[in-house]
Parts: sequence; C-alpha cells; structure tokens
Amino acid sequence: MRLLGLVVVISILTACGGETDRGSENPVSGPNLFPPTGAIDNWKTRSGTKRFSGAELYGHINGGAEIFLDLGFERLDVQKYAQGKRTITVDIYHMADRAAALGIYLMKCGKETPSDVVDARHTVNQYQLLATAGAVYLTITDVDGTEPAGATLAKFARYIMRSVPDAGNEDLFAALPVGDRIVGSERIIRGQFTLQAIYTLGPGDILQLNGETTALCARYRSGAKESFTRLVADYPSAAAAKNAFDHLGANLDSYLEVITSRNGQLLFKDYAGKFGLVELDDARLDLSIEMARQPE
Amino acid sequence: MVDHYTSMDALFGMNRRVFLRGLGATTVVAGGIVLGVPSCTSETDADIEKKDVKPTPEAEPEVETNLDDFMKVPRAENAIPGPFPGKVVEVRNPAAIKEDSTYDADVVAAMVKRGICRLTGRNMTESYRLLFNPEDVIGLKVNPVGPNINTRLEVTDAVIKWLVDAGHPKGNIVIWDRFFPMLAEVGYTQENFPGVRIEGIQDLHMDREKDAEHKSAGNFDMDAYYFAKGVLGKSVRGYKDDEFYLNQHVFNTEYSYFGKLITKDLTKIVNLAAFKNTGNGISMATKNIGYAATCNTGRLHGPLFFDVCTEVLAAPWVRDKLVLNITDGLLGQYDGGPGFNAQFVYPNHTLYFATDPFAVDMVCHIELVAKRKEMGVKVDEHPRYTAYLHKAEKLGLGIANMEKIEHIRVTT
Repeated sequence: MRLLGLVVVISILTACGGETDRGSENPVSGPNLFPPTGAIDNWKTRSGTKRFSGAELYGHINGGAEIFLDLGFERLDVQKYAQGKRTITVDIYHMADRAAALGIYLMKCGKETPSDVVDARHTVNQYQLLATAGAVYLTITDVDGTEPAGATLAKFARYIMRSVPDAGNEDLFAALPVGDRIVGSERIIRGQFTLQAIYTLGPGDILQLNGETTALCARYRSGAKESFTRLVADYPSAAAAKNAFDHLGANLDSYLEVITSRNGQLLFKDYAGKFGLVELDDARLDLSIEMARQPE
Repeated sequence: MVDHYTSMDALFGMNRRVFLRGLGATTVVAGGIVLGVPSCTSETDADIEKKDVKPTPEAEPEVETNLDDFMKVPRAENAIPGPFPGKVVEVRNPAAIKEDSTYDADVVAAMVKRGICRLTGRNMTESYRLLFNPEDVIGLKVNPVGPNINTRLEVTDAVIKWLVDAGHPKGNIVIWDRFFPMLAEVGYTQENFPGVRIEGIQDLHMDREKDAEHKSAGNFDMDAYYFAKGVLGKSVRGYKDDEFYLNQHVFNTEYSYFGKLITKDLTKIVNLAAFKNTGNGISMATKNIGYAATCNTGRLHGPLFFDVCTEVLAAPWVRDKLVLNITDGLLGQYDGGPGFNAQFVYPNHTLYFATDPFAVDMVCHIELVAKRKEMGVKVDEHPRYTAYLHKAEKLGLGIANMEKIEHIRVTT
C-alpha cells in the first residue's frame, strides 16, 4: 500500500489551508516525559523533539487549534519514534490545568475503548491512543495501524502517563446533577470555540467565559426518547454573571426567537423548534437547551 | 506553460486588476461563524422583553469582498454547476476496502466508471468528450490531508486511466494541491504517477529572511485575487508573528492571489476531495478548492470561513474550469476534523460524483450529520453551517435545496 509510512505531522494538517509543523527542534527544557530510545521494545527516537508554545500551535494544527487555546493550552511537545519501517508519533499537550486537559480529551475521544494496561483515562484503537492525566492530554499515533489493539501504543502511554504530575482528583463535574445525565456526554467549555461544538447561542464569546470561567455541560434524558443539554457556568461574581446574562440577551443568535425575558430568565425557541431556558442565579448561569417541550 | 484560458483581459479588453479594482469591492458577507465579533452594547431586561422580532442577519459582522466582480464576468460554457446541476450519484461497494485494510484498485476503478457513466448517462469515452477535449490541461485537485483521510491514490489512478484511455495526453494531466510537500507525503510522486505532472501552488519558506520575498511569490497571479476588505493577513490570531504568517501564506494583505497554475495553465479542473468534517460543517468538495486555489488564507478562516468555499469558486478562474467533482468517501471521518483523528474514521465505502460541487457537498453534509448522530456525537445543526451552499444556489452556481437535488444511490 503506497500510503504507508506517512508522517503524522502532515496527517493533522487541514485539508487545504493547512500549515505544516515547523516547531523548534532545539532541546526541550522542562520535564521530559518521552521514553528514550530502547525504553519501549526496540523503538528509537527519530530526530529531535519539537515544541510548540502558545499560539504556535497554529503552526502544527490549523482549523482545530482554537479549541485547545480556548480551554487553556501551554505547549505541545512532539517526538517521533521508528522501528524498521514503522513510525509512531507521540504528541504531549501540556494544558493549563486538569480541566483543560480533560476538556480536550472529552472532545476528541468519542466512545472510549480502553485497554487494560494503562491506568490513566484513555481510549485506543489500532491507529491512535488518546489519554489524559493531570494537566496532560496525550495522543500517540501509528499511521500504519499495524496492531489491531494498539498494544505498542498502550506501552508508550503507560510509560508516559506514570510520570505526569498529579493535579488533583476532585470531580470536575460536581456542579452538574448526576440524575439522568448521559454518561460520556460531559463537556468542558471555556470560550466560543468549545461552545460552538455544543450549540450556537450567538457570536463570539457569547457567555463571556474569556477562557477563565469554566462552564460544564452534559446531555440529560427527559423521556424515553428525549434528551436535552444542560450547561452550568459559575462566574467569579454575581455581577459577572449578570453581565454575561445581559450580553447573551442582547446578542442572541439571529435564529433564536425570544419568547420571554424577565427577572433573570430568558426563554427562547430555536431553529429546530426546540426550547432553551437561561436562568441567572447569583453568580451562576444555568442553561437548559434543546428541550422538546416549552418549560412551564 | 501554455495559456489555454481566455482571460478576463481578453474578455473585457482591459487590465484585469484595473477592472476589478475599478468596480470596487461591493459584496457584503455576513461573517463570524468562527470568530464573529459581537456587539457589546448591553440592553436591560425591559428592552429585551420588548423584542418581538428576532435580530436580522444584517446585524452581524460584515465583510466586503469582490464576489460581485466575479459574478459580473460572463460565464463560460463549462461553468459550474455544469451540465448536471443538482445531480449527485453515489456509488457504494464494500469490496473496495479489503480485509487487510488495503484497497482493491480494480473495484475502485469500476466504481469510478459506474459513477461517471451514471452521472452523464454516457459511456466513458462520451463522458470524456462531454467534459474535456484533448487540448485541455486537466488539473486533478487532490486532498492529501494524511493517513486514511485523503484522496486515495487508487481513485486518482482510475481517473487518470479514464482520461488516458479516452485519448488524453498524459503530459496534459496535472495532480495538484496548494502545498507541494503534502503531495509527496501521501504518495503523489513522479514514481507513482509517471508521465503525469505533479505540482503544488506553493512551498513553505520557513527559513525566509525577514522582509525577504517568499520563494513562492512568483507562483501567484497578481491580477487575479479574492479580496476581503479589512481582513488582513497581519496580526492574525494564533500566528506568533507576521513573519511566521508570511512563511506559510506568502502575502499578508487584503488580497488572496490565485495560483498561476489555475489562472494561466489549467483549462479544466477535476476536484477529488476527501470525506471529513470540520467542526459542525464539512471540509469536502467546495473547501478542497476554496482554500487551495489562493494564498493568504489564514486570514479568512475567522471572518469568512465557509463563505470562502462559495466565493472563491465563483471566481472565473475556478468557476469556468471546474467540470467534475468526485468526493472520496471510501473512508470517512465524522468528527475531530479537518485534521486526522483516528477515533472517528470509519469505512464508508462510497464515492460521490457530480458536476455541481455545491449539490455534492449538501448531500455529503447530510450524510455526515446522520453519521455523527448515529455515533452519538453532539451535532449543532444550525443553518449557518450550510448557509454557504444555499448562497451558491442563489448565485446560480449550484443547487443546495435537497428537494431539487437528484440524489442517485448505486450499490455494486
């Protein structure tokens, strides 16, 4: 097959406006989580480690970097390994905090299919392993998909993740009721791009999260075949929450029809005929959207 | 290079740049899907309560472009949507991908033949004559994103075989993409395609000296451009500095120049896109051309995003040459795109054929949304994500209304 042996940096370019990665190949300072040559079977490092800091991420992934920056991105370290004709690429994303790392993982993991050999939260198939621990989001890619269960990918992940600094273990979704929450639907939102993946409320950073306020989101069952999305954002102050509520009301997406807006409540109907309710409660905005029925 | 194209200069007897600038940039585009800038005026609850009409799209950020100038140029005989507006043929055959994950070139070739013949209602030779002539320089725009999700070499092989079997000189076939290095990375090499030209519109120039001209600057036609007023390739969010931007995008003004390959060399284009999402939308036929035909595109993602997929295709240098679209959906990626994300790659076993790029994108958008739902991906079906296709229909460039689209499914 002529497509074997592809380079992963090219794989994550966008279709047409894509840029190729040209990060620094200087020795990388800071904690080195990469396995050295020989640490994983006979895999050898190939060329130097590349580093992309902050907005340089656009030089590595274009058309997808926004969500990393939205959540809080610090740097990406990339290392390639070779064994004969096979190549594995390890991308270690150092995010701003645990919520940022978990947030990007949840957006990328899909239905999780973990292996037994990695302790950190992860999913793996023959081509790719995605994992998160502490403030790290990890991707390991075998473009040839040589092993059906991704056994080598799991070995790399186990080696790397055991050295990731601990960043606490509190339940990041504690603000969302467990009740009828659909497992796997949880998302973390910190700005316009992470919100866009969920719902279109309006232009720009419509909830005024500014990458600092964390909104938590999940789907909930509301009937045998019905579900809705709940989103909770706790702002630094009641005034900040009030400002965000007012901003939302004043700049609501043109496809959303306001039904009522009073006393810290905004009720609207969307383009699909579903309903949304925004409630201001002290320093919290509590949104229920895509509801099949208009709330009383 | 031989210029087979009747230029706008010839059409109007005037300098193209003067013509375009003389008309001015008059078209207004509502932007902001990705980086929309909100109005920050605040209203009271009472004010909001008084609203009984929803805000109009005109209230959103707007960008002036030179779309109107493009549309004033009389269309050539071959202009999109071509002879079959709104007709989309999809050919499905699970045997195209073998158990060992390699591709059966014979099956793929048979799918290509079936799709083209079903689209045109003619045999392969007659189909060739309908869309091409032997003097044409035919550009095959491939989509070399990376592993799995790209234009399969087997698909491109089959198209070349069709052209050559119909009598087309191999030397007048060009496999192209915007960035040259990406072609070789996925196997589009002279070794794999002997006798066929392989060209990128530009290279990267990462070691460029400050203030030095980009090494690919000469590859672009300074008289043919997509203009977006106030949208500069300077201080674009995400690039560490303007020099870094220039290394990748060649220019950083309000102008995105078309590659000379497109304006002066190619006379016909066959669009061979891959099948993948970009956020809530798709990155397929129209984006494969829209973001590859010009330079200086980094500035466009934020304020214009999908509109570029309509407006660049409206430019005469593309509109009048793009005669066939084949979207390679043998594998699809339903989430995590436009970059490769193996978690979301799935065997779709399907190729899509159309002369109308907007119709095929609408069909593929609907199919990808269905797949996203099937796989439990949260889908935002906001009308904005297909608005650019409907805009194309209003401009007469294609069909986006599914009630008008003839969607033919063929299983082999």
